[in-house]
Amino acid sequence: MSLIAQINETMQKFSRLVVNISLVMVTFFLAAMVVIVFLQIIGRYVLFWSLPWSEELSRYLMIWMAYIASNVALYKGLHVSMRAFLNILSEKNRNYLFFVMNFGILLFLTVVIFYGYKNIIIVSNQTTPVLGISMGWAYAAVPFGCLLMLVQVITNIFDFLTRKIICKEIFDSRE
Amino acid sequence: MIKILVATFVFIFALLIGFPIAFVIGLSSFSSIALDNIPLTVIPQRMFSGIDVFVVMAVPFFILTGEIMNRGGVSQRLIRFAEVIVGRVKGGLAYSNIIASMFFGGISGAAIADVSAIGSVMIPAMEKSGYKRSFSSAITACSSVVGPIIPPSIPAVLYAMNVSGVSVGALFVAGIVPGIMLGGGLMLVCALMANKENFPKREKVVTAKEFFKILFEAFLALIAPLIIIGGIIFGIFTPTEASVIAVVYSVIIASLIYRQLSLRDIIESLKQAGITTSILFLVVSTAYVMAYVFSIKGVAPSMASFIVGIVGENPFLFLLMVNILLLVIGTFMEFSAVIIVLGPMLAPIAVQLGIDPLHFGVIFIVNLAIGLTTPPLGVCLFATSGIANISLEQLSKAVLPFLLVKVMVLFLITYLPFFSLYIPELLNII
Repeated sequence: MSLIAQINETMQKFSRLVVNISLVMVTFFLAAMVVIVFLQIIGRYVLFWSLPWSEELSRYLMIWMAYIASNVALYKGLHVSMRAFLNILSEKNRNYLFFVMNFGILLFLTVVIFYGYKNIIIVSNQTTPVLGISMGWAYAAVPFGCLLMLVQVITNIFDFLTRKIICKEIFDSRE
Repeated sequence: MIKILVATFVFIFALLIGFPIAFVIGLSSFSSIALDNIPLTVIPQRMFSGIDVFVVMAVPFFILTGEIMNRGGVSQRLIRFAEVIVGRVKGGLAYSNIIASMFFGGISGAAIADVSAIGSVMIPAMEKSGYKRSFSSAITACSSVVGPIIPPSIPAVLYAMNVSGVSVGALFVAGIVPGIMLGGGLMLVCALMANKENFPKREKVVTAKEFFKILFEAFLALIAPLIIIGGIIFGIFTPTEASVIAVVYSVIIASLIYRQLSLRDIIESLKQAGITTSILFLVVSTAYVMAYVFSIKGVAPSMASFIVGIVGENPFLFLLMVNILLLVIGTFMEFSAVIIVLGPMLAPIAVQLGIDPLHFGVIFIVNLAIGLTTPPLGVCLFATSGIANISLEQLSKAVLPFLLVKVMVLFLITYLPFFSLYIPELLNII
C-alpha cells in the first residue's frame, strides 16, 4: 500500500472518531441547554428563585454545540451550497472542482484557527460576568470547531488523492 | 475600487463553483479584510459575538421541537387531521397537503423541515391516489414556505435580533395573516386546476368516533403555537424561554399521550437538531463578518443614497425595488445571511420613507420565503426533488403557477399594510 493510501486510511478512521465524539457532545450540550433554560423558567414561576448563571452558561454551551456540530455537517456534506453549476458538470470534473474547493475551505479555516487562537490569548485574563471563568473558554469555541472541520477537510483531500473520488457520496447524502 | 472588485469576484466565483454558502461569505469577507490591512482577529471575533446572544437560542430550540414532533408522530396526526377536514372535496389531498403545511408551520420555524415531514408522507400518498408526481412535489415545496411565515419563525427571530425597533413577538403575530393568505392562494390554484385535471377525492366517510379521536390528537399539537405565541406577547416568557416550553411540551405529548417517542428518538432528535443548527449558525456567524466589512466600507449610506437616487422619496417604488431585489437574492443566498447583512441596511430607509418597521419586516420575510422555491436555485426545490425523486426541471415547471400566485400575494401584503398590522394592532403590541 502506498504511503498516501496508508495516511488516508488513518485519516478516515480519525475523522469518523471525531464525528462520533462530536455527536455525543452535541447531544449532551443541547440537552443541557434545554434543562438549564427550563430550570430558569421553573425557578422564576414555581420556586421563586432566579438562576443568575443560566443565561450565560446556556449561551456558551450553544456556541460550543454549534461549532462542534459543524464538522459533522461538513463530514456528511450537509452545509448549504448552490449546486446549479456543479450539476451540469461531468462527474470527473465535479470531483476535481471539489478537490480545489477543499483548499479554499482549508484557507479560511486556517485563518480562523490562527487568529482565533490569538484572540483567546488576548481575552484570557478577562473573566465572564457571572460565571467568573476565563473569557478564553468562551472564545475557544470558534477556533476549536474550525480545527475539527479542518480534520474533515484534510481527510477529504487525502481521500481524493487515493481514490480520485470524494464528492459522490457527499452529494448523494445531502438531504 | 480594485479591492472591492477582488472581494466581489471571490464571492461570485466561490458561489458558482459550489462552495458551502458559509465559506463563500467567509472567504470573500476575508479577502476584503486582508486587502485593507485590518487585523484578521476581527474574523473569529465577529463569528463569536454574532451568535453570543441569548435570543438566538430560540433557533436551536424551535428546530429541536420540529424534530421531536416529527419523530413523535405529530406530523402524521396533523396530516390525518387535515385530510379528514378536506378529503371529501375534489382535490382533497392537495388541499390537505397545504393545510398540513400550515399546521406544521405553526410548530416548526423552518421550511426544509416541513418539506421532509410532509413530503415524505404526502407525495407517495398523492401519487397512489392518482395525482401526478410533479404536481404533488410542487405543492409540497410551495406550501412549505408558509412555515417560516406562520409563527413561530426562525427568520423572524433573526430579523428582530438584527433590526432595531421590531420585537420577536410582534413579528410573529404579524406573520399570521400573510401566512394564511399564502396558503389560501395556493389552495385557489388547486381549486382552479381541480376540475380540469379531474383530481380524485376520498370516497370513504369518516365516522364521528374516528373524527373526534383524530381531532383530539391533533388539537393537542395545535395548541402548542398558542402557548408559544401567547406566552411571548403577554410577556410571560422571553422568546427563548417560549421555545424551550415548546420543546418540553412536544416531548410530553409525544411520549406520554401519543406514546410514540422513545429515549432513542429523543437522542436522535437532539443530534439532528444540533447538526441543523450548526449549518445555520455557521452561515449566521460568517454573515456577521460580512456585515462588519460592509459597515467599515460604508456600504449602507452609499446604498441608501443610490436607492433614493433611483426611487426618489416614493415608498411605492422603493417597496417594488426591495421586492425585486430580495426575490432575486433570496433564490441563491441563504435567508439568514440576507437578513443579517441587508436587513439593517434597508429597514432604516423604509422607516425614513414612512413605512411601518413591522410591516417592512413581514415583507422582508415573505420575500425570502418565496425565494426558497424560486426556480432554478431555491433550496426547497432541491430538497423536494431529492425526496420525491423527480428532476429539478420537471419540478421547476410544475411550480410556476403556484409561484405566480405567491408573487401576487406578496404584492397584496406589500401594498396593503392592513394584512400584516391588523392583528398586532388588535393585540396592542406595536
